[in-house]
Amino acid sequence: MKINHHEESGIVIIAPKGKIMGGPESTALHDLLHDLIEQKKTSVIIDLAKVDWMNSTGLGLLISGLTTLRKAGGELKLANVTDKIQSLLTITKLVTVFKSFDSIDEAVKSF
Amino acid sequence: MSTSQLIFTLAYFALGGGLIYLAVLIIRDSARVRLNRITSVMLFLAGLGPVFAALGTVISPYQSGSPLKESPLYNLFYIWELFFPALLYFSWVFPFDRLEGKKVRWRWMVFVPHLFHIFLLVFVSDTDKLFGLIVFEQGDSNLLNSIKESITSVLTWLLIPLGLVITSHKKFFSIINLAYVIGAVSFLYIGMKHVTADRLKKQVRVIIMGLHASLGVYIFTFILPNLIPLELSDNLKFVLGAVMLLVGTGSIAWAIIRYQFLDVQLIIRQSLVYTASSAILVGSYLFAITRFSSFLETLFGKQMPIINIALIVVALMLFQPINAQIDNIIKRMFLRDKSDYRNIANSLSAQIINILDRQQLFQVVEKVLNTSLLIKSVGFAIYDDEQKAYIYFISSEAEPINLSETDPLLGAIGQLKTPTFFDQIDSWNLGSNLATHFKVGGVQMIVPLNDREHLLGFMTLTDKMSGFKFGYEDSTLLSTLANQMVISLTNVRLYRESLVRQRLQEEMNLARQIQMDLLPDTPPQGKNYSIAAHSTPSRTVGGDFYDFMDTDSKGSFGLVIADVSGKGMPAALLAAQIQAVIRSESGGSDVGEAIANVNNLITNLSSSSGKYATLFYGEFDPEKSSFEFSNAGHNYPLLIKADGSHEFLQAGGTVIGAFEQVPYDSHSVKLDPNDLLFFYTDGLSEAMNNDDEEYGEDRILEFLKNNRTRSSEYIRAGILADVDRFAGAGVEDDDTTLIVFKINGTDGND
Repeated sequence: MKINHHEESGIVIIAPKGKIMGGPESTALHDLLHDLIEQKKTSVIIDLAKVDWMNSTGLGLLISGLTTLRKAGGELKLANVTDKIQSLLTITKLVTVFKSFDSIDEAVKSF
Repeated sequence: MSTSQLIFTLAYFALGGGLIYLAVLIIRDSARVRLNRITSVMLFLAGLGPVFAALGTVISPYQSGSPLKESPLYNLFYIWELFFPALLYFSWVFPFDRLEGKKVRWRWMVFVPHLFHIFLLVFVSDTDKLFGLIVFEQGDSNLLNSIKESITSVLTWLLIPLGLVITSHKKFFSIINLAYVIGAVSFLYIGMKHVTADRLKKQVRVIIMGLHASLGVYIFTFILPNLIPLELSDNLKFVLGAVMLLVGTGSIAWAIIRYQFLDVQLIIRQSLVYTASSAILVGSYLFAITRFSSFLETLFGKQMPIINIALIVVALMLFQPINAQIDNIIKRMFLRDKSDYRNIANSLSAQIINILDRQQLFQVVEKVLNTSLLIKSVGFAIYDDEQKAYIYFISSEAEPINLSETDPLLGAIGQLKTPTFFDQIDSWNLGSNLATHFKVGGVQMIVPLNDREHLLGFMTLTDKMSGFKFGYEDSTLLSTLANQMVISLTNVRLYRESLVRQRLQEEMNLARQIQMDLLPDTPPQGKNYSIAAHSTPSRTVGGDFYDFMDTDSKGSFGLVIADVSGKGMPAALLAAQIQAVIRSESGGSDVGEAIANVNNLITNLSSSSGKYATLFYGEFDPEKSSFEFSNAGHNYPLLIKADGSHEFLQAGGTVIGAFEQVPYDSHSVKLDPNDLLFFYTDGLSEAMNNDDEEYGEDRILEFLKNNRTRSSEYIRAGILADVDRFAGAGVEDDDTTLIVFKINGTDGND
């Protein structure tokens, strides 16, 4: 799993790649979110276009990211969710919790 | 001079010279240590004894024409007797320093009697002169005269014992020296009793034995003849004197050097080689020069002193470099033969290959380097996985130093492939803390410890005690050593990891135990339904569990199946908490409300840990044959109707334990005879075959539809067998948990 991120009009867009399966690389995402909160950057979009799959640990990562950012007064939104992950979010009914968008532009506008 | 005298003289010179050489070596080792200083002084004075004795036979003051004849300066030779107070002083600081931390001003007083002795002998060796000092000129005044006379008589009385001392000073000081030696031996005895270290005890014992032996000889040779009429021949005195000095000082030198400072064998070999190379050089020079001058003499028919002087100048200029070269060649031939290195390497690999403790490894390596290469001090740096930093420690310093990752010197060491001199590393002076440590510690050589990709650590070596330079063979040996250490360190790491694995395994076992304890022994059984359940924790215990609980006295019961995210102990504990909370919330008016309460409680408990659970909870009322449920983010359980149609049990809310105050819906289904409910966790649906294909919901659905008329027990065993067939012999990554809930047919069939 690789984590690239950039900023667009004050909103941080994180674009992980591959599988989000937990393990040492997912601590990188966790650390990144904490760094962002310290820098008072709490509006975050996770672009899931390049994420093939995530397991329950990966899901836990998104959940803790969301709760951490919300506690800091921010928000974590998802963009470009693939079908497979969409079904995962549907089954777990996390669709009711996460705000998910079809494109980054839409996600950025929603802030 | 007779031949025997000549031999004794040379032996005395050699003995004295050897002792003085050792004294220089020891003071060079470290002049800051009191023990070194006093040992050095003692050996130097002991060396002066035989040297003076030898000089005495060469330039005897009693020979006619000797410049020293009649001169009291001859008595300066008695300086060597200061050896005795030095020995006493030595016995105070060895085997442990009695003077450490104490301000003992009188300690130098032990030298006073001997200094006084020398003073007397040099300046007032003649008793007549002594008395002459106090003979005043006769004055005019009677009063003055009588005062002078009385002073003179008092002084004369005072000087009589002094005169006696001088006339019999040999006897007198023989006794004093004897007292000093006895004192020193006594102190050493007391010291030895206080010493616990074996090595030190041995050392003191050698010294005491040596001193005893030489004391005996000394008494026999020099004291007895002064006290009783005993005549010893000069030759015998020479022999006994030499034996005494050799045994006494030799034992001290051996013990001190062998155990305290250096490898004595190497020093002896080095000295021999040096003497030999010098002798060869001087010999060949003399040979060449005599040949050359006789050649010149025959050529010119007369002697040419100028040419001789020129030859001496040339020889002096060439002597040092040539001698150094010859020295090197001989050293390489005799001292540094390659088998030594092979032996060191072999013994080393045998010693370190089985060491599984890092500290022990460093101790062994340091010992080998100390004894075989005579390295004064060795430092080790090692990457510590826990602290995520390189830690540098030197045995002489108690506290290890954590190295900064950004230290430029550390980066430079990371690039090294072979042992390298510290001063050959370019970037060391770029504001490196480590370089400061190295400079303070006198680091000369850096040995990198690399495996294929990483710098595991490095060793630092100071210069050698012997003063030898690091050579090509040292470098080869250090490379071999570094390779072996890398292997050994890798072993240490693997061993540690296996320990961690073992610990994890223990934790896993405990978690598995907790998990198994959570599972009910038997599912509830009623007359119109049957239940079969199964749970296999995977090797990395997850947080799956299922449970049943009575919700009223009329046979209603609750059913829960859950999957806690994560593995191991934290997951097992969260599972236990969830189970406890559900049990307390079950049997209420609305299952959605019950799950909302469970969620709020668990979210508070597991706040911000990122842990959550998917959970399905349902309550079955056998009277109404209704099943009310709420699904908290769990895989949809399946309701297979008797006619083969199916329904997913979706209603509910999101996962448990992540978000507070989220709503949970509930829904109720009517269960008819032969209806089948199937609950499972993702361990079943995500079981993979070798082609990375998941068993999947569709296969589950297909199996259930095909086997819906079978008993719950048959379905349970059958689907597990089907998944095993599908996934092959592979180990399941996730827990597999399932519940088969079947409403009995009205005809009494399952």
